[in-house]
Amino acid sequence: MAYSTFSKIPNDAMKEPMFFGNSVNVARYDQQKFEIFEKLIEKQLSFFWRPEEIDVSQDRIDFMNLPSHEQHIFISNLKYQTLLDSIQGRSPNIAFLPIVSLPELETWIETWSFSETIHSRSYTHILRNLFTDPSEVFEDIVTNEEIQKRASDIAHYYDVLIHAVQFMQLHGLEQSNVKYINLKGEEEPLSLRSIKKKLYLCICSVNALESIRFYVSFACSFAFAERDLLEGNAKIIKLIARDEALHLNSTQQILNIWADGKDDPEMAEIAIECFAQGRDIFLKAASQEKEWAAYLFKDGSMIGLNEQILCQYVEYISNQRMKAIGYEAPFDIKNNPIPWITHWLVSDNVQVAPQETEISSYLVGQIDSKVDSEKLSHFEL
Amino acid sequence: MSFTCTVDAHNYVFDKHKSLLENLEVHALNPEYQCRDGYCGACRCLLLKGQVSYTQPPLVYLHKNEILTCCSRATHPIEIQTK
Repeated sequence: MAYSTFSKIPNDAMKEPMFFGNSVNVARYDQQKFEIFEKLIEKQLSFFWRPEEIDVSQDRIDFMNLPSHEQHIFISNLKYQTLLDSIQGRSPNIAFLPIVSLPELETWIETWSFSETIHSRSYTHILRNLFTDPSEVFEDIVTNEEIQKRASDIAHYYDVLIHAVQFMQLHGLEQSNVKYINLKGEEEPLSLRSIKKKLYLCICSVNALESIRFYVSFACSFAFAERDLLEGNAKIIKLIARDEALHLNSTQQILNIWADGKDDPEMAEIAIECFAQGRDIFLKAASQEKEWAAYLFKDGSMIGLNEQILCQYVEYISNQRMKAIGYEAPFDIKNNPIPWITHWLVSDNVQVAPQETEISSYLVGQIDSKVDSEKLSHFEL
Repeated sequence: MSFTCTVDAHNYVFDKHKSLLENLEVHALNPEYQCRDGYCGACRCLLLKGQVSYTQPPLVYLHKNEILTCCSRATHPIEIQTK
């Protein structure tokens, strides 16, 4: 099952599964098996923004005036966000593009990953403004133990999937000459079904990343802005949060489509088989985020946010996200412990001038498609 | 102009011209929301009785009987469950 950049098999894309069917050949969008991905692409394109549009110059002054334990909270949070987007800016492409089979989903994955690279560029924009030389901050991301713990867990499911898919596409699964040695260095029997399981768990992990981990970091960024501090940073995070809401929607779509048996029937079986494992991925992400909260506030809390409140928010947001993909809410908490975050997450008050952005509705309004030919009657050639 | 909406077993008078979310806010019911644009799913709730119509199609995967309040309206009595 080698990957082809332009498969010559005259397949019907409407009959392909989302993943592990024939490679995509013609990038056509006139017909879509799952129209939702096309709509997500349009939405994502209409959200386009650039970090340079946001003025962050006041942030430097605010940052210098913060007490050291608050500087630790702010910088650690930013490092973590940088890590998450470093992973997300490449991994969906590398992991999912070689196995995707629908043109609209393929393009969504590319659009999704591209928008994550804008997020990464905006962290550099923020850090370059705060420090004359931000190298120290960037370099710490790969050596900081607390960040490492999270990084290895997030990257793990991607790496496992990528490794197995590379073996499958290089050697094929219908042969016994070459044995598959997995990432742990152990021999592992590989079947298409077992790789599909790796894909399922990977999507669960990506969903947990975008729906829980990201939001915990957003809460920290917005907590500063609630006190009128580091507002440039918060404006950028607000734009990032708007994009992330869309991204987590797409992985929820994929998981729900599988679970409801609307795609590959084997994936529907796997969704049932891996139900408990999927839940564990979410619960582990939640507990890791709580550990992270303890690290953030190790030298002291800040006004409006402390370890306890952030942990409650982890539980609250985990409940919401798990319910969205068919799990029972695992935690008791019913109400949002930081209701002020809603004001920052609402996207209809993201400031944009319609003529400077690509709000699809605005552009559509420019064209009057109903022109009465009578109106042209006095034209002569 | 108005219709009755039963929210978690309590009756309220809702305005036809407002989205369900805006109506919930009018009654200070503290509804969940985030994007207010039909793509985040935060305002998802259960429709127990009646019918709603969408001003724009929701982009969220909705299970049976689930609705988004931010982009839906109703004209006749409905019953929803938010918790």
